[in-house]
Amino acid sequence: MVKTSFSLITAIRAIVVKDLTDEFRTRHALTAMVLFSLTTLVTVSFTIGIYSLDIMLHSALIWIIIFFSAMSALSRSFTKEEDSGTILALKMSATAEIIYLGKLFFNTLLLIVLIAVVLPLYYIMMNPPPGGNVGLLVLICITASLSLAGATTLLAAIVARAGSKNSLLPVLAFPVLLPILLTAIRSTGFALSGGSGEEIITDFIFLISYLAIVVTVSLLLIPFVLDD
Amino acid sequence: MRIKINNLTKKYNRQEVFSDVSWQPEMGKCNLVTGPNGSGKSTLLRLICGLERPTAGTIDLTKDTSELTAAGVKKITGLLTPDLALYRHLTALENLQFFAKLGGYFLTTAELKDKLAEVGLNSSADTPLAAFSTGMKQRLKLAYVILKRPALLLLDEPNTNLDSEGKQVVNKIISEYKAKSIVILATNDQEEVGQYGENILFLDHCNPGYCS
Repeated sequence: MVKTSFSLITAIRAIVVKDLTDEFRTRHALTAMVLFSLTTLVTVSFTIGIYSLDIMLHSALIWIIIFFSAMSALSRSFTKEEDSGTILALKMSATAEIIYLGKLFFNTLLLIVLIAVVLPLYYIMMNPPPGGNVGLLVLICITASLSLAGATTLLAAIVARAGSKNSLLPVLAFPVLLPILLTAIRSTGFALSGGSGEEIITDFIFLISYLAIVVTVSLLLIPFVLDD
Repeated sequence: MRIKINNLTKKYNRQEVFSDVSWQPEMGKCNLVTGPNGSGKSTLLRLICGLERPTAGTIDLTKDTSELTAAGVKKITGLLTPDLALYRHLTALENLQFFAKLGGYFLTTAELKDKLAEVGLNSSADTPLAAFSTGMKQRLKLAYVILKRPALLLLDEPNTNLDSEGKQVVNKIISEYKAKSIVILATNDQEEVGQYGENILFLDHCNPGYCS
């Protein structure tokens, strides 16, 4: 039992480390994500930066930027394996569940890096009202990015088998991710206005429950998705 | 380890690849699948290792009298096909280290370098695959396939892109593994059929499942 768990963790960690090494050497996903977020931020900042925006508008803008930047990178997690033909070696060496969990952790790390880039840049360029609860904001971002990655990883695997590949992911993902985005926008608004964690405890419970549901459903479905 | 293919049929939508194929590969022999292009040689290998499901018929895989599940079959199978690719931004050694960890084979760096030496890539261990020639990639794929010491070795056109030294590596692997595993080789090269074939399945659209 201990050996099985150890092998499982070793295998998942191997996928994460492999994807990180590959990403570090090619920088495909990171470059796409950061450039997309930077372009959007600069455009938004030049267009509406001079106006004083409502807190909820700031919150919505942050998550719109994160959502579309993330979609440009997260879809690559499986499409690059399909396109390069490495998915076969992966499927012959690990179970579909291990592949999913490895990709999920890698996608979560990518999202956390994205948020670490977008949030400070947003503060610098858009100048939201001071007095926000930064600790709470970071906690919300991590929880929401876990939920986003959980749902997007399975969809990325489905999209990788389709012909239209990357362009299909935002369309497929939007209805699935809408509950997460709405909750993240609302709780980010609270955090930006300096609210405490108690006020948004239900949002946290919702995000974690949603994560549990999407990961469970994904683990049940992923063998059928990766199967020919 | 025992494999028995019973009245196997494979169709993609309405396109029939082969039908009613029965065959029993044997340990100790080089089992060979041959036939013209499109006769379903590669498809048969993918069906045997559980990557695809048959339209009709069964493949019985048993080890120590217990029937293997699809996951169990993948665990003991080494599959080399022209579709197989490894990670071009990782070095040869990093590729083997990754697949060893993924499969739960606790091999040291020295042992992995020995695997590379077996296929004649010991001097290219730290070279990224992107800098490899097609023949060197094929050799690394051979190292990947024997990494798990498979009880079922499926080789689809293993000599593709290999020089004479590379072909000797394939010969060595086949003669080493046929003694302890079931080796199935797919080829349409008549020279290879004559060289390796000890238990031959000939797939043909007109005359499916002819065994000799």
